[in-house]
Amino acid sequence: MSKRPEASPAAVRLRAASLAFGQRQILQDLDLEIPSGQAVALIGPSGVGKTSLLRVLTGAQALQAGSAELLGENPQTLKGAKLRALLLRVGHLYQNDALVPGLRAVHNVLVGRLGRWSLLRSIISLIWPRDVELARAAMARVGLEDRLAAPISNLSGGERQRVALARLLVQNPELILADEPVAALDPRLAREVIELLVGLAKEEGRSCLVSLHDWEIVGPYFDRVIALKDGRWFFDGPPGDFLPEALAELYVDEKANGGPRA
Amino acid sequence: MRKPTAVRVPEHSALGRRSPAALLLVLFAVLIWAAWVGDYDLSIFFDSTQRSAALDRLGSFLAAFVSPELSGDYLARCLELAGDTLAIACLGTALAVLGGLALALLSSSNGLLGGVPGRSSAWMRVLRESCRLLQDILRGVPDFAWAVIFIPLVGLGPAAGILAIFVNVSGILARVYSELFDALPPSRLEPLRSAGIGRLPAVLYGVLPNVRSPLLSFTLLRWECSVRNAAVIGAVGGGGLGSEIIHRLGYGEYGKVMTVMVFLLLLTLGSDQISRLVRTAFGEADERAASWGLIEARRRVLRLAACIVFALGLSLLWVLPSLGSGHRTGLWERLGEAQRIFGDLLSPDLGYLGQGLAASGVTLSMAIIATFLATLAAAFLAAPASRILGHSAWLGTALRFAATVSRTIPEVFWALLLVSFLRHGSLPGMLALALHSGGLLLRLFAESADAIPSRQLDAVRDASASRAKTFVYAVLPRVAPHWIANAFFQLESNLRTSIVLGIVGAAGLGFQFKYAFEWFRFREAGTYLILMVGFAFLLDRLSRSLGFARARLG
Ligand SMILES: Nc1ncnc2c1ncn2[C@@H]1O[C@H](COP(=O)(O)OP(=O)(O)OP(=O)(O)O)[C@@H](O)[C@H]1O
Ligand SMILES: [Mg+2]
Repeated sequence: MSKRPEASPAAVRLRAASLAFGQRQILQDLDLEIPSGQAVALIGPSGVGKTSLLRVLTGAQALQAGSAELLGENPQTLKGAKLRALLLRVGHLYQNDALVPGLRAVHNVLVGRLGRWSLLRSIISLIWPRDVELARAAMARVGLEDRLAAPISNLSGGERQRVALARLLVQNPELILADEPVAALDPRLAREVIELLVGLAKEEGRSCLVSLHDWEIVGPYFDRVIALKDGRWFFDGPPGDFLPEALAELYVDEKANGGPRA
Repeated sequence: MRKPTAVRVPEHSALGRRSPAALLLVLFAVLIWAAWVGDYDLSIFFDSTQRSAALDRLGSFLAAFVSPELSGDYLARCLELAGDTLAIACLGTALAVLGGLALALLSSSNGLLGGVPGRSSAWMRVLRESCRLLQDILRGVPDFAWAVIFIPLVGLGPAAGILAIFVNVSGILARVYSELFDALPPSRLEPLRSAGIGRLPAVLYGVLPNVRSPLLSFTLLRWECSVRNAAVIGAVGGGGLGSEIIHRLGYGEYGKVMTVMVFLLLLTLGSDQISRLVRTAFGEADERAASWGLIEARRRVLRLAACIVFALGLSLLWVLPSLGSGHRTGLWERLGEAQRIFGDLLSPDLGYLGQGLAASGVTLSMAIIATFLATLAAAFLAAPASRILGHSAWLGTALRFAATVSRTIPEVFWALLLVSFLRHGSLPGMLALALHSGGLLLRLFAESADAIPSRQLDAVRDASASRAKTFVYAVLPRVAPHWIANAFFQLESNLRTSIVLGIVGAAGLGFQFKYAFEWFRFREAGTYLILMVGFAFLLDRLSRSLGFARARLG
């Protein structure tokens, strides 16, 4: 597919990033660097700020201090067309609700092309889908070739997440940000979707940052795990180094500060 | 001008919390005020020369009732006018769909100027609020008033009707559409926006598909109303059947009036039927859509598009010859005139505020008294008109038939007839509203009485044996909340229509506006327009605070 620039900058970089909602400190002076091509899992208990971190990266949430960088650009200060151009290079995957229920699968997949299409083409495609072959190929990659015309409301949860993956394929981003993409799925399906997601990311040399609830899934697929607790990094390293005791401590509901390794 | 819609009775409406005695007192006071301020000229009933003249006119109309003009020539002429009316409604509504959509996209928080959190700038908010204001103005000034405004610019004829419907219905549709858009959670848009998709495509893909079917059914309903309004908008010079009516009434040719009236009724009933068919077809298509492949879906969309293009093309061809007929001057002169008229309308002479408020009192009074009389009549006739309570079958049937005729004839048409019998004034306007809403309420009241399970009536009937007692003890307590809610809903509708009746010759704000406008006193007319918009705004507030929610469209 499209060519990547040589010696690309880090996919994601945070420098002394701080964020608080009222009294609650969500991110405290955090640093993070994800080189391009790496598959990273972000874990942490509910409400710790995983979603907020990802929103900071897309510029939807402003930082109080520090800076964020996405593919070498600052999403916090970019506006308008420049921000859109940056976001076009970033793919998203959400827990659910990210597909348009009123549209058929093919249109939902082609939403990945919208950023590149002219307005006229977008409108025509709403009635008469353009680039159908591209959509068909993407749907084939996620094993749903025969569901191209299905309305989204007729698809199962797992199928919907795969349609969302097909949309990512069509968008062809350099970096994938996923917020609990499998929280709504049962463990077997969840594993399938994660395997597909990380596989698709790695074969094109894309980086991905995936927030997850479930430690079980992380092990075999990701290069690196980062764990957030009380606004700081609780762990940062290869999944093999993350010991069961540390896991227990991460999810313990107390204010004790874990030993940050980063 | 609305369809009879059942009203859901609110559980905690503002009415339910007050004591009945206090409510009756308030009602009494309001009626006294309305009767006093409404300036009803009853001399026509007491002065013998006036009365005989009015009776003469009524007599010749009733004579024509049984002998409508049926010559082939005239039927052809009416058919052509009915075509005009239909074309005006179709073109006006089609333009309004575009206008309403654009305006809704600009004024909804889920639209083009919607806030991405933290990123919506001040000018966007200002623009969004001004679009909402524009909506209220377009909606608040009735289509009849718009027609009056456009006539000096495009001349008498269909063009004025099309423009009036376009402008007014744009405001109405924009309001409905933007409410539909606003009801969607913003999270629907965020995934698209955060994928770097521009505002317009994000709305096209993220918002519109989610509201497709309510949007379609509201639009169809509006088209239906447009047909009704287009049929009578000619009364102020907007072309179609309405122009013919006013013309023939003026010459006292009641036979022809009768013929036009029949065409008008057929047209409204026909549009009801068409819109019902289309809605069912859409509903069925929606159910089966899941099983269509891409090719089939595309074929359906193209077929629908072809139907719409065909209908609009035909409408355009139909009115095209008469579009130019009203032009007296060149485009530049007319643009200059437009600038002058709108400039004056927008800088109103507030010295006329007092006069305008007095006229608003008359408008209010017509609606209040009419709704009261209609409710009273419907309440007394509900028992004989209902199927299970009525004494005699033929009386019930006759009452129901009269009610059907009475509510099928639009208020504006009633007003035109009554003005021609009784001369201009608040009396014909009030009676027109009362006749139309009486028919409507009678049907609703009788239906709600019939909805009571007969077992429950039998129990009371056995105990008390008298029909009157059964009605008072078993029926009234059960239907009263429903009746009151419907009466209030009708009051709201009558308050809006009351302005329009002024424009076609009854009294009140609408009459003052038209009069000022026709005498080129545009700055005075501007004051009345402001009052109309304020009136509509207050009504919205009132109906919302009373908590009456119209039953949702299925
Ligand atoms: N816009 C906001 N304003 C105020 N508080 C917020 C806002 N967004 C998030 N929060 C709070 O910040 C904290 C972190 O929220 P966030 O959604 O990032 O958690 P999370 O780690 O994604 O949780 P989960 O695993 O349940 O999705 C929560 O306590 C939440 O209530
Ligand atoms: Mg979250």
